[in-house]
Amino acid sequence: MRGAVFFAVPAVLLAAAPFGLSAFTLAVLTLGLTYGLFAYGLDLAWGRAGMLSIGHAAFFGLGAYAVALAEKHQWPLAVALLSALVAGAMIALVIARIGLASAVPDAPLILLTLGVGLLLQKAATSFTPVTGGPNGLTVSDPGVVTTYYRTLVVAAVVVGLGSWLVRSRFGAQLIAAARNPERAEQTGIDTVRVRTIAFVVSATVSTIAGTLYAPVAGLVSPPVFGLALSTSVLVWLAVGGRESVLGPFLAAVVLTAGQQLIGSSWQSWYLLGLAAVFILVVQVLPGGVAGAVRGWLRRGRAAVTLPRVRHRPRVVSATDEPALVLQGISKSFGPVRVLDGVDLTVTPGRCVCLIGPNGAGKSTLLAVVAGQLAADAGTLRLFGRDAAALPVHARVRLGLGRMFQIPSVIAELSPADNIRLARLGAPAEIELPEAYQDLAADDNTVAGSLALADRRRLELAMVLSGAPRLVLLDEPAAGLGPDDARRLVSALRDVIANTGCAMLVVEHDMDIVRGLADDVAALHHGRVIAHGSMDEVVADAAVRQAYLGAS
Amino acid sequence: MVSPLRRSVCVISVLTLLSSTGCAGSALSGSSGADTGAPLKIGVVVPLTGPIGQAGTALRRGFELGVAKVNDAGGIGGKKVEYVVVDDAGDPANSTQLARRLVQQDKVSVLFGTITGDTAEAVGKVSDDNKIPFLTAILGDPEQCRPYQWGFGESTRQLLTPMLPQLLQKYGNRVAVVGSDYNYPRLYAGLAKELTQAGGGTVVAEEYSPIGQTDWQPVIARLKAADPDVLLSMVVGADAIAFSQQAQQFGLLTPELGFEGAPLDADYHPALSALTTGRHHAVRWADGMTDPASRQFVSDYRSTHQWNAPIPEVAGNAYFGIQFVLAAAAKAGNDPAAINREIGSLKFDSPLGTGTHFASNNHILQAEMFDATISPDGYTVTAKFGPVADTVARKGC
Amino acid sequence: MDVLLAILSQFGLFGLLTVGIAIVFAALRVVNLAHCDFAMLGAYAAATLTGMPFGWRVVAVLATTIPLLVLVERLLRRSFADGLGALLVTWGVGMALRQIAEVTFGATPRAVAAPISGSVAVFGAQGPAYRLVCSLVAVTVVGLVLVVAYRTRWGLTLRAVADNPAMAGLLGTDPNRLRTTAFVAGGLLAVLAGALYSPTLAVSPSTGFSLLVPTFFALLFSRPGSLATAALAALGVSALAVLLRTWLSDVVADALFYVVVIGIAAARSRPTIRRLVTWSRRFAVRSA
Repeated sequence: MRGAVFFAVPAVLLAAAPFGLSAFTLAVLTLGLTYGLFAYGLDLAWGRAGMLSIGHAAFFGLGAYAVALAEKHQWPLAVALLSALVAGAMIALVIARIGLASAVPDAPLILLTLGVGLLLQKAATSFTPVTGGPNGLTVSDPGVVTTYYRTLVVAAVVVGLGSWLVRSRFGAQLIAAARNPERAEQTGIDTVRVRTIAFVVSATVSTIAGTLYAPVAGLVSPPVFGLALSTSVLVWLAVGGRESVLGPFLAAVVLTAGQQLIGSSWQSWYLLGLAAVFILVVQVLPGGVAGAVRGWLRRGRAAVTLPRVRHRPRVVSATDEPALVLQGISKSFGPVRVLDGVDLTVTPGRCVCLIGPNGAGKSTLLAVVAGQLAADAGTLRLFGRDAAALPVHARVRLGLGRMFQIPSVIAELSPADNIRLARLGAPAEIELPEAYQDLAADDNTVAGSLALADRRRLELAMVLSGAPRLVLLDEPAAGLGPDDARRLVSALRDVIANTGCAMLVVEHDMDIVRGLADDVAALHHGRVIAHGSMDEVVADAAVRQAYLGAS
Repeated sequence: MVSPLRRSVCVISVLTLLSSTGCAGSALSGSSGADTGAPLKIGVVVPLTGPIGQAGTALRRGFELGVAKVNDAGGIGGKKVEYVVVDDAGDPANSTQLARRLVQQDKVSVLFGTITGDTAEAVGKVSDDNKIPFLTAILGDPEQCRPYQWGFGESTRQLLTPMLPQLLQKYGNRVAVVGSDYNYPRLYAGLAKELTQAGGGTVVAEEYSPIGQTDWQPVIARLKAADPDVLLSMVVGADAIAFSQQAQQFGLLTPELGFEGAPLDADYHPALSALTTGRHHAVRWADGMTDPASRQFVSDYRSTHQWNAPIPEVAGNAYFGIQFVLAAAAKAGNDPAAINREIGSLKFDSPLGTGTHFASNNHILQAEMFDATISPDGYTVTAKFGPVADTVARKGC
Repeated sequence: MDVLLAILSQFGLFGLLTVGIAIVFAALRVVNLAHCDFAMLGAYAAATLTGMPFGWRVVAVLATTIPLLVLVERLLRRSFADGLGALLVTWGVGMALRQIAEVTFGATPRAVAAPISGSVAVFGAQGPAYRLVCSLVAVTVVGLVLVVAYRTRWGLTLRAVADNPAMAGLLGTDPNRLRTTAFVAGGLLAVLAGALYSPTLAVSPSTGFSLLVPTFFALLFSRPGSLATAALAALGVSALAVLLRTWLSDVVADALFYVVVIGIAAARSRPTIRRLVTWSRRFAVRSA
């Protein structure tokens, strides 16, 4: 009831604005709203998908030019708008795909967004007969009040849809994919797909903002694609605060009003002041105004929360096949042959430990099984299915789980949210063992602040929540004290006993291997040189030679 | 949940801020609600900052001195003329917003100003929509003629008609044209071609380069290869300086080559006078004009603004242009439509010419042109081309 | 020959700028968006300190910008945790520098007289003497920087830190000091570029900003931490721009330049093409 009242007040105020404001002030507010929607659109890419675009005006300009061109050449408006939206979405799709194909997407994304924006600006400047060249095209204005309401309604609808999207299951996946793609993939999220969609939606929202801008501005000219606008919108968003609805709108409206009112007589000083404010905000309030307010309201607790979405179990067919079968797996880095025909089988309910001297290829083998590296040759079957070509998240969906050498959790979320995230796509609702219940209930800290041992526990809890049938562990006890290590070993044995899942563990510490392993496989020079019980492998002549450094 | 509360508080504060600053905006205009006598009010949209801030500032100063002169003589209808100056920083999106503000909130009867074609287009649209006369003081002809838009600057035809034959005769028949890549230089080149052919010459090269070009070597190489006698340059802004300097360094710009165009304007005099001294430049007004009204204006301008460099032509156009407008307003009163009609039919005497008036089919001022010689100190008027007519009709009027 | 001289001249300018921005990127992991605005400062010094001979103007501006560079680096240090935050700070610094220049010097572009006039003929190509001299100075400085980077301990440390930021501690270098020196060194290269090339440019507040995009492209085409590839990328970008503009009209060349750059960026990130490149490199190594 109170909530409804609080929501109604701003809605009424915005709806009533034309009655209280002068025509010019209303026009400035309208311009601020379109810029706010643009900043909100950028937030979907930069804030929520973690994909920085420094040429987002490219999309904004497409929308603006669609309206202007339709008016100038008397094209049907709907067709023009649709073409702009499709063009924007296609460009965004290509940019996101290329950008995300690289391990660190920042550089290609910056280059591509910048380049596309500049190219469109050149095109608008040079195709004078169509675009009017640098003088641009004028757009008629149906009246200040009409434009205002139209802008308000469209912005409200877009923000409504956007909010629905980020509060949905997709939003939950996006939160993980943007912050820790590695762990997100390990919970079965197709991070490239999720982030690409977010980038495309971001471009679409920016295009819509551009279409609203055209009649407000009255004139659409090439700078609408330009670097100045692209960076202004970055400033608005940085100052207002990412991952917020109100922040970007507020910053855009206030800074636009400032530009129009103060800037009309003090342009240079206004821009200088803006630069100073901007530096200050980035330095002192990295989360912008909204981030600061949120931090203050949620002192100590995670600033980001996972949307509560219903668990939707994934269907996984039961099978009697071995969990993992490797045949002749080879992998080279340049001239170095790291894996040289590895054969290995892991059957359900058993724990296989991989041992071997440094550089034997253990971690590489784990990465090949997980799907982070593609083998050059050989076959890889998971639960009876040929998985050699499957990406990481698809293998996870088959029942693969993975723990990293350095525990990988979503540091910004609470431990409970981390576990909720892991449960999102699990084939079955797993009741976590008693020892992890404290983490599953912990909504008041951020996972990044946990001690190493707790973070490792959390990672294991996340892996278990995904109901895996084969778990890969890379030196699970690294960095743990003897007591923590012992507790971890017994926890892992319990997991195997209770769930019947298989494990493939890379481990150096022979005590842990002894406590954990059903079988041991020794890797040397990229080959399995011995496979059997702990005692058999330790007694093996080839293994002894490899470890004593005779080779 | 706290956020809805926060939201409402914020929205209220934004609206308060906007409405209060909105009031401040109208206070800025200097007319309070109690003012019943309704003096004539003019809105000036100029870039005072940004890359073309210098030209905008000169226009504003010329405009202000022109208004001051009329006000000192008693104003119009016994009341002092008022005006509001706003800075659009050369961005057409700003120009539209500010022009709308001037019309809707400050209730001006006349709009004045702008430097670049795109901002002129933006203000012209607003003036047309609101039926408020809009006057520019810059060189160049807008592509479209608008019923409410008038230009005091010389048209391209007025600029080239007297000068080109003189250049062809003095330097030779081979003409090259170079420009920044936007609408106006192409229009300029088109006309230059027409007049060159009419004068018996040929255009041997035509080059455009995107605005912001820093390296002109390839363009200069192509121009040199064409071996021109005369170079017409419509390279503008900072590029004009880079181009002219590099053209000289590469040996294209020699005393044997005729050179005319934007780089010879007074705006570039401080940077380029070493390259342009001794050359002739066609102008509508120059600070070296010897008539008493111009002398008075120049000395006022120099003393008011501690200005020693040549005064840009746009300042003179604005100074005498606004007097033209005020003379029209003195006859027509405060009604924008009446002022617009009067502007269209007025004949006005000023240093720009005797009986200067606008042609009805293109809204271009029919006035005189002068031949100015550039010296290290400024522009000396060495010859009078006399009235140069441009009555070629443009669509829209 | 004309074309080679043109490429040399452009490479001098963009080589200095790109190597400078690459040094900063190597040590700080920040793309310094204010980098070319430091070049603007150098150009303004050359344009305004006309009381001194040209060479002394360059020395003076190099000396006086050091405190400013140290200050900016201090500003950046606060936002290191967030790489993007530091990027945004550099954007703010650039914006502030441009506005300060506009407030101080006005927006009117200025010209700088070349300290050496006249023209020289090199292998039959006639060109301005100053342009040749400043290209040669710039290219020599780029060469010296590369020598320092690959032949001295400081260069080794810098490259090691670029590969692995934790290395600085192991090599016994104070990482903060390394960052400061790298930022100052990189910034000074930009200032030098601006001052040296000012006689061929128009000096205005946006002088530096107009150089940013090609520099940025060159940086993105280089391998992080490798100054040699940065210099190569600058050479590639300069050559591409000059060649396109020699063969085509400026307007077409300019648009095509962006198309080619975007195309290369796209191609580089396609896994198949990347694999092909790796493969061909391996092949080249083997056959060598």
